[in-house]
Amino acid sequence: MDFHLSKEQEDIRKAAESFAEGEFNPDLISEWEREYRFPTAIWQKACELGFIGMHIPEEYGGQGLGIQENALVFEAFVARIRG
Amino acid sequence: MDFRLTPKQKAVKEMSRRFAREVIAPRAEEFERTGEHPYDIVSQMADLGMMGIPFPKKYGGGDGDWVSMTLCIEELARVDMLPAVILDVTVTGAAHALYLFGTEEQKQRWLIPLIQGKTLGAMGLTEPDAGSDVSSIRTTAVLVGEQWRINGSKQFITNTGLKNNSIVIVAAKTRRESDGKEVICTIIVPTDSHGYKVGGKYEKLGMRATSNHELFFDDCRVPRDYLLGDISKGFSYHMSSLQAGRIAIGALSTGLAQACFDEAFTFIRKRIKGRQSLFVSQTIPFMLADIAMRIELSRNMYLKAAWLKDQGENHTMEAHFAKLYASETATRIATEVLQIFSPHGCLEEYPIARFFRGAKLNEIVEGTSEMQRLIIARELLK
Repeated sequence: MDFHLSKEQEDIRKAAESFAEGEFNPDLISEWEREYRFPTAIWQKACELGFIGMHIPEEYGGQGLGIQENALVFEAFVARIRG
Repeated sequence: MDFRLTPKQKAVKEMSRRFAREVIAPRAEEFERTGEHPYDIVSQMADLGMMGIPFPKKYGGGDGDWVSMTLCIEELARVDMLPAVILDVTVTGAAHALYLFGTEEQKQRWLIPLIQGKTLGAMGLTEPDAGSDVSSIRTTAVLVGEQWRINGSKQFITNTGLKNNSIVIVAAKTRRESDGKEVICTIIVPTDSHGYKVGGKYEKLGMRATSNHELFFDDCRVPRDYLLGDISKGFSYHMSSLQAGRIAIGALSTGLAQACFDEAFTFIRKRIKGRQSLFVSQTIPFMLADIAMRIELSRNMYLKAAWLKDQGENHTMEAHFAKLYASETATRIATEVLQIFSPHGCLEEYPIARFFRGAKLNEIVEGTSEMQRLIIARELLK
């Protein structure tokens, strides 16, 4: 039994948090909301940094990690939705 | 991260489950009806090493961990809360404090027989005027020569009034010799001490066979070296026992909730098969799904708290979360399952009535739900 995140998972969580902190801001978020706009540029950047598709095998462009890592990224992003 | 049990933890869980089903289950209704302490069952639990699971071999323990200890408590409670409570109070209320804060001599004298199951331990904290507000205790201890003289009373103390209850770990106010300051100390009071008296047995809502009594200390005398640890740290010693106790109540509540689920599941499966009622087949499964989900969450919460304790890490919040969530969830589940059983649930013929009566207890012992919330909120504001 082990309830701790691994070092790698902690790093992923921190990286996702700082990405969200740096990229999301209240003005931008209310703009997406108001104008029904998909944040293509930020999405692209998140893809390039490997945040999207954490659990997809590397041969398909993912990180080849697990659902836990994917969930950590999701949680970190959504926790910053207030910008 | 790894949610699996080790082979040793699995073995403890399976051993406890088998014992609960084969030995406790056929007797559970009898304990509740007669209110008698199950001496023979407790002695068999001791033979299986249940009292010593998290303690080192050198004191007669099983060299195991708190994850195993709490798994054992859950499995016992899954059949009946009584043996789980007796075990919990002995281990977290008495043995845990002796192990952490006792001298080697105190451990040899009292911890080993507790772990071997030859004796049972109790923790004397609650008083007529001090429940959640521990600092209001009025029991006093004064050092006269080489003896403590204890005066005051305690109430609701579990595992007392039994012929195998050896000691009560008592919280009392005293004045520190160095500066005369009033502090709470913890004293080991053997039950054969001069001036130690046990009051009558309570008639209770549920858990009728747990042995709870009022205790009276009438110039009760114990030797000076029966003081546990540092004279000024009695309060924190009791808090430490309560913290372990909260994880145990989380496990106990999870077991009780699982017991309710098991009963409801068997009952409903029979009714659906017999197509007795379309209403039952369409609505009850949703209730069962919610119940199963909440039990899983309770279990994960107490296991996480126990695991953190095993790692020697801070687990204050996790212990409070587990106790608060699992106990309130178990009461809710017992209420829902009684509803599923409808009039059948009100009959003593099914164990649901016993589970329902006992459930509420877990929201009160080891700190009421209100105290859990207060402490969690204080931690959040830190």
